[in-house]
Amino acid sequence: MTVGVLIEHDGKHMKTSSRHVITAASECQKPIIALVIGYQLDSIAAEVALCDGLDAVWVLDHPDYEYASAERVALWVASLALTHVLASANAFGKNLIPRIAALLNVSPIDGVLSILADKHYVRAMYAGHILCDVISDDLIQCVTITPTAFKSCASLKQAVSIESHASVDLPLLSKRVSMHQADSESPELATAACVMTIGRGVPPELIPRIKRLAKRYKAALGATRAVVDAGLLPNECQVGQTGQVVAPDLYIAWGVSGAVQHLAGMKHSKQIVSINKNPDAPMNAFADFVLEADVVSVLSAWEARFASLEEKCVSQELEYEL
Amino acid sequence: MIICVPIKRVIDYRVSAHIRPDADAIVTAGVKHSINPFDEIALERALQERDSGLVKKVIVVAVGDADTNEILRSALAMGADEAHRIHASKTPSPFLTAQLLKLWLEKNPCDCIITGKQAIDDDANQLGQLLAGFLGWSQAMFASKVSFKKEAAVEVTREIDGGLETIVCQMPAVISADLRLAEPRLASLPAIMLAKGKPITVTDASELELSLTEKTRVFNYRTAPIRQGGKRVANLNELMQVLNEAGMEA
Repeated sequence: MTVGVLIEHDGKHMKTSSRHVITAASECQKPIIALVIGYQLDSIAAEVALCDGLDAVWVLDHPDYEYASAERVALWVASLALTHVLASANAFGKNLIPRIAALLNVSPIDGVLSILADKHYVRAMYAGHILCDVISDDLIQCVTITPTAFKSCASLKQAVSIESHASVDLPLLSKRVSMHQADSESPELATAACVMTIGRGVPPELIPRIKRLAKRYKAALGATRAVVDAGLLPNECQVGQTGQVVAPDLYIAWGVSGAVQHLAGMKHSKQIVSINKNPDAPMNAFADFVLEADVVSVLSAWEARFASLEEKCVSQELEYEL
Repeated sequence: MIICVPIKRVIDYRVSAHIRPDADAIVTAGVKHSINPFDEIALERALQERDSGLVKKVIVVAVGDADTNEILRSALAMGADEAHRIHASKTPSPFLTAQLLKLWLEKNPCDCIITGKQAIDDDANQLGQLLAGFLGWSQAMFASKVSFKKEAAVEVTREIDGGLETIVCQMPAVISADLRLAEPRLASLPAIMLAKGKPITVTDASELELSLTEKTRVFNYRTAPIRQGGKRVANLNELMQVLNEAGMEA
């Protein structure tokens, strides 16, 4: 038995979502191996090696893998002697796991919410309305894990061993020509502790102000499909059935009506706050706390609190100086 | 160039799904079904390419029983050139579907596959990747922009977690459509009428010499717990208290 966890990284650091997958792996079997693929990975591998629960880190570090294409990654991972291959249920993991499963001729399992026993999982379907059990008969398990359903693993002081692996030969089937990455200052949407989401009830001119507020609270910015479709925020902000699935400690919905497809992407948040003047908005029945008021007035009052707070600080400093 | 668009018959997105009393399946009899919306987007994108002249033919294929013909007719009404059905008594998992399609494609070759990134029933998001793996083709999943190049390559902008990524894939390729790849056209009434008379080629799954045994068992369907919310706070001050208790600090 050997569990492989595909580690997602941005070339500098591992993504937090992979830490959640490591926790899920610890509910499968031992040993657990982190698989890190890319180019110039020394610092990332060192960071991964400290993750609690791991037994080793296997690294495929090669210039050809700077863009780790699904074709090449799948070929390498399928060549390893693993009994479980896990990755996060996001664009990264969903792109890779089914292809690896095809090469191993096993039926992949997507979006696992809990692991009840070896090869026995719970997952959601129909936009999160329906849960079901899945039992797999395959010898090798290829699974994507919903990161928010598992805790993040801690970092230890003692690192596990890091092993280098040779690349596999495969003609170049795809290459990256460009990449647009969102602001790396703000936290990862999928794993942020706080998310502020903008819905259609927010006038477009208020969006920069809510962005500033979010930054202040170190909250990630989310959006509904309507807002992304209207071109007001980029696609990577979309929360929902077909966008990102989030489960922060605090989810603040600004002018979000609460379509079922949107609720599917945030229903597991610990606390949900809705700011929406429409008493009939489904979100207002769903959220734990509802402020039934106009978005503009709430935002202005919120900003005013900061302004007065800052004034107070400044005047206190002045007093001190005097 | 021929584009193949695998499509799936799913419960219509406006209808809520109900669980059978034995909890072993979803009620499908007498429920309105339609083409999986993501597959419709994929089909639209393929048709645009055909209409612009680069692609000779767009063929649609679906796996399922005779009821599946209805979505194939919808696809013909939208403008697909050919419709094919691989007969199976019930809709198989994405894994079996991909295996069936792989075998079927050996007899019905194409240069490119475009399909929806996920079906809105099982939300699995697997078919395109599985098919690309079985065929050994390049893959470009979650596409929001596709442009075919002259030199047997296709440039695809993918929606990834932190933003967008543009890749160039060697053909043949498998592409999966994200929400914003295209806006499906509405079929005209004459086209709908005409589609009723068009042929649908049926291949029995047994002809493809594949055992239709699933490797996963899905059971114990249940409704996800519903959140009880709706507590009103009077003003921002009260909301701030809630936020403070939740540990939120600026």
